[in-house]
Amino acid sequence: MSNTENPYVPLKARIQKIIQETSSPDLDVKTYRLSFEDGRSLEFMPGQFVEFSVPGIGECPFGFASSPLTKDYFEITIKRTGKVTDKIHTLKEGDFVWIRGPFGNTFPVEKFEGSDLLFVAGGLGLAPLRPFILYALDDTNRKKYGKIDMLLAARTSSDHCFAYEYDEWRAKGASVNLTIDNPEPAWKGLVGFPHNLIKDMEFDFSKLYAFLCGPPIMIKFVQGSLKEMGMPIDRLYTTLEMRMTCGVGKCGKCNIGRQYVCVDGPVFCMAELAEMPTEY
Amino acid sequence: MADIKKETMRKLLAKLAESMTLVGPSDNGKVVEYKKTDADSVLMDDRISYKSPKEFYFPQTEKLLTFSRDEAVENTDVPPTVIFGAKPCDLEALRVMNAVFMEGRYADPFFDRHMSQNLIIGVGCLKKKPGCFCDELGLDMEFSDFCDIMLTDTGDTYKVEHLSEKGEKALAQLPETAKVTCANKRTAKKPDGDVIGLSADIEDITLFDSVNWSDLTATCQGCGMCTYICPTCHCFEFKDVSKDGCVERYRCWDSCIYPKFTLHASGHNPRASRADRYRQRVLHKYLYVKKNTGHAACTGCGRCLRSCPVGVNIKTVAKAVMEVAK
Repeated sequence: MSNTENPYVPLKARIQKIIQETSSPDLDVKTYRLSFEDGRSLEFMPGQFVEFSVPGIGECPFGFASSPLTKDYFEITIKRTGKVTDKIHTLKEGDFVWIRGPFGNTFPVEKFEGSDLLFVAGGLGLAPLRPFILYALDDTNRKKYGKIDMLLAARTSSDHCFAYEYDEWRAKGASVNLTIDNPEPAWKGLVGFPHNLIKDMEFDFSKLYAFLCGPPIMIKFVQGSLKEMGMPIDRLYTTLEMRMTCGVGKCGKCNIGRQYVCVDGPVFCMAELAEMPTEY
Repeated sequence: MADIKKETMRKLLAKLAESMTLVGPSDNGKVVEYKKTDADSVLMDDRISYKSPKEFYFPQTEKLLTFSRDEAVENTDVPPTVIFGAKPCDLEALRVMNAVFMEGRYADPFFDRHMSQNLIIGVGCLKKKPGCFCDELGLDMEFSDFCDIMLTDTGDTYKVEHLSEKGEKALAQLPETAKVTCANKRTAKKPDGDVIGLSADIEDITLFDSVNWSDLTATCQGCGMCTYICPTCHCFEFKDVSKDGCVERYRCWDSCIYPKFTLHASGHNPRASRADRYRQRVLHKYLYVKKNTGHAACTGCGRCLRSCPVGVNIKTVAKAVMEVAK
């Protein structure tokens, strides 16, 4: 449920910290660390999102990017793309924004206990997966999950989000594989698209769940590769984005058939999506 | 049920208007429209309004919030309103709106406030108007119980019945109407014949690709008129307005017929073509809302087909879709 009685009413939040995630000239992604002015914490689970307002400019939905186990603050990762995100990118640490939520469903994290996890992300697609990654890697949860593999793609070596954290993820037992689209002189990671590279990775498909997020074309091709390799689609999950004005299933913008991405999603199992109209 | 003279009904409306805003059908010289009016001028004939009374419980623009320094203050200012003369199609449409806004995981506090502040007086239709097809949707043109007081026009008098405690209290404000009881409370008649409608058991995907949406909607100009005058259309957008140094957030009607309705900031649009958008309008009305609330979001008021500038007829489209669904 929402953190205020009226789900349309946002609360004032202070920008504690801004982290520059990318350094390509044409891709500007920043992470905003926020906390509510009245001291309350935002209880959420991986997969959920908030509606983020800059009064006078507008409001947009963004997925959480931080761990649900962190109570002092929450983080939202935002690419400069349009009217509202242009404005957000001009804000400084100490400035205020307005937040309502959390909204949407969650990754059913308990269902995956005892299984191996594979995260495949393209660019900013890592942001909505990060809450689940941090949740699963946390000391209190790590033993509940088996192998944790990641294949993280970006256009160039300057575009990997949360790169400052990868060593810590590796220290907690995750295999973090990075790839970029084209070779670069100093690059030590992989080169190429995830749907090709994934074929060189080894999985125990009897106990694997995979989470894909990124450009639709990447999701489509990675899903194809995994299916070819023997992965059943009812073990593949993704999270969708849509224009969502209200976040509470009323405004009529985000529905795919009878399902509203804001309340029935944004997390969907691929088996479920296969039964839905392709209107996303 | 009791018979009450129309004159007496005007007296009751005058009494109610002392403490509430009175809204009812009025003739503006061109069409019948719902507007703020007085008890002497409100129309008491069988004509149907050009637009439905939806703007009085779901305003076209409504202030939701004012951002102050530390708080977003919710607008709770909803004037108590008597909506007189709503037709059964509009009452059934209100039932759909109520389900959309009040049921499910979240209730809409603004809609809720309108519902609790409004007194709704319905009037049954005496005859079908050109373009009306409520009967073909299985609805009763004479009666709906989704109101506080229901009237049946018998010439100089109304047969009056109250359907809620709010309605009973309103009638009690005048000695002549206080005697009305709901002892003979009716239910809506189910008309005979085939009903236009889709079964809620049909999968969304079945009709999504197998109907020739482009052909069915080839003449649509994308003006969105149909969505504005529809009594069940409820899509909206937020708009911030700066006023006297503070920002107010408004909710404004939006329309699934417009290309920017679903446009992402990235430029991607899940409903890129006019046919995609018309498909959304039709399947949302006849299938998706029905699956989610149990009610189809079309009540056969006929307004969209009466006012479409190029004669797109949703009834014809719905029938064509039904053929494919068979």
